[in-house]
Amino acid sequence: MLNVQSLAVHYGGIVAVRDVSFAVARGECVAIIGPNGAGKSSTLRAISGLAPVTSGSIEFEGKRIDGLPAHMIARLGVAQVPEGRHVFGPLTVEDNLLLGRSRLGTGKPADGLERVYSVMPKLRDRRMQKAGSLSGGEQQMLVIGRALIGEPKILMLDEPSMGLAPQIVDAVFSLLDGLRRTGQTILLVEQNATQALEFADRSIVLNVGEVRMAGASSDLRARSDVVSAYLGGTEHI
Amino acid sequence: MTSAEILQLLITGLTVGSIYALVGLGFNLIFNATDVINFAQGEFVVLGGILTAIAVGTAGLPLWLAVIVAIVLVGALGALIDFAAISRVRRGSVMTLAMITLGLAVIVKTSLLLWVGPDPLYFDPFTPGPPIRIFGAVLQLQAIWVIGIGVLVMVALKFFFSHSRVGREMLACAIDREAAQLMGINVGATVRLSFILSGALGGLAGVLITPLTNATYDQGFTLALKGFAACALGGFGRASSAIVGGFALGLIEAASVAVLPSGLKDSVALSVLILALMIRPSGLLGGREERRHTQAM
Ligand SMILES: Nc1ncnc2c1ncn2[C@@H]1O[C@H](COP(=O)(O)OP(=O)(O)OP(=O)(O)O)[C@@H](O)[C@H]1O
Ligand SMILES: [Mg+2]
Repeated sequence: MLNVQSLAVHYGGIVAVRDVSFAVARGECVAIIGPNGAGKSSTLRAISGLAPVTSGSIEFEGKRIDGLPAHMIARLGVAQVPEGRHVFGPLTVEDNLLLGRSRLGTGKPADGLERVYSVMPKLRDRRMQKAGSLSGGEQQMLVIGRALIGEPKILMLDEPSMGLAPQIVDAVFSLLDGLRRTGQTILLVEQNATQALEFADRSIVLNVGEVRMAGASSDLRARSDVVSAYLGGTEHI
Repeated sequence: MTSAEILQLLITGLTVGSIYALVGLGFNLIFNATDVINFAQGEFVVLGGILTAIAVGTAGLPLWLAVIVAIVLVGALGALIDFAAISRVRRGSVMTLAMITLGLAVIVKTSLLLWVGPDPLYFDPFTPGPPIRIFGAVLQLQAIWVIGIGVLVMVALKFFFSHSRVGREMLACAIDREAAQLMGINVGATVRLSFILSGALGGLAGVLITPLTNATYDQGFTLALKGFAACALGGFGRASSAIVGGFALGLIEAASVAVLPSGLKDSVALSVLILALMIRPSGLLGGREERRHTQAM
């Protein structure tokens, strides 16, 4: 479904991604893990069209998407839940969700809202509240809901566990598990290697802009010493 | 002051206040979309008046059609400014963009001078007839149009931003461009729409006020200054503050004429602007963090 070939992302003279290749098949859950500055976000942002692709190619459902403007990539069914959440703080929860299907998704707005509220009942209780006044965990749920309401073919999440209390992180991952069971294709970026390796079918370890290891998550879990070495020794599995 | 004088002052203040509010709303639209203060905002107003006067006088169009043509043309000029200049340098600094709008304002002004000359242009009020007298105060029929349509447009804008899909998208782009793009929203097109709306609002203000004040090629700067002061008074970026600021400035100006020589009227606006910026740089209605996001009021 998604095919990234020899991707490089440079910001002026700064090299964020040097040479990254991987593929995600339909229905698969893939995780990209790596330490700070590894180029995880840059990889996701290149796929969604927010970061410049210096060289290499990105194909989605057989078509080249690198070079397309970000809003066109989104309309093809590529959703990104950005790092740091980015809710539309001054707008209500419901307006945030409606924006998620403003240009995407099918069917009636009310049905879309109903679908999201049924998975995230907390959001229903807060529908008229300003998104900026939600707790961090609720905001993370909201941005995931805002992406889901557009019925994406692939859901990319950039560190959804960042800054959340452990039990909230569990809630986020159990939500993702539920999505996986419905057949949702997911590309997850995480620093939280333990959770990511447990969740994903396959994982990719990124370090200084290059793929260091890749394979079935179970295999990587078995080689946790090597993985944690690439994670800079600060992350233990 | 007699009660008739006070009433008169209120009428005058609310009339010019509506215009300032419309100019301020136009400022806000472009500011929220691009972070740029559009120095050509006053020229939109002048053009609205002059184009209507020409469409009625020279081209002989009926007034209603002339008004529509003028507003559409000024809206198109807004789109053109974005298309030809602003969108080309979107990565440029806000200062660069602001200088571009300043240059455009000068171009419009001098072109108008060459085209229609230095004399004021004029067309008849929307409805003919003598002014109404209430409790000794004089109420021009056109003033009713100005305040009525002004308020109507403000209410319509509020509904546009809080209840329409496109309005919500404009807010989203103002709050977080990247997040908006990730929802499939075309930010470039949304910015273009802000320029069109802003031009149309300015054009409308010119159409409304010209029967009372006439339209002269060089009025733009003063009008822009007033609209800017209205925004600064209320706090930049919010629709409600442009409206409150606009009416407040109109009333302050009207009151100043009662005690000061009327030639000082524009200096009063400027003093209010400076005072407002000194005392509450974030405006009377709130903090800068909240700016722009609450366009829906
Ligand atoms: N807009 C930018 N301009 C310049 N350099 C950037 C930009 N964005 C990222 N970088 C640099 O690119 C490198 C990779 O950054 P990136 O955000 O992709 O890493 P990351 O793996 O997501 O890290 P983190 O875990 O901290 O989020 C870093 O050195 C970063 O400083
Ligand atoms: Mg990152």
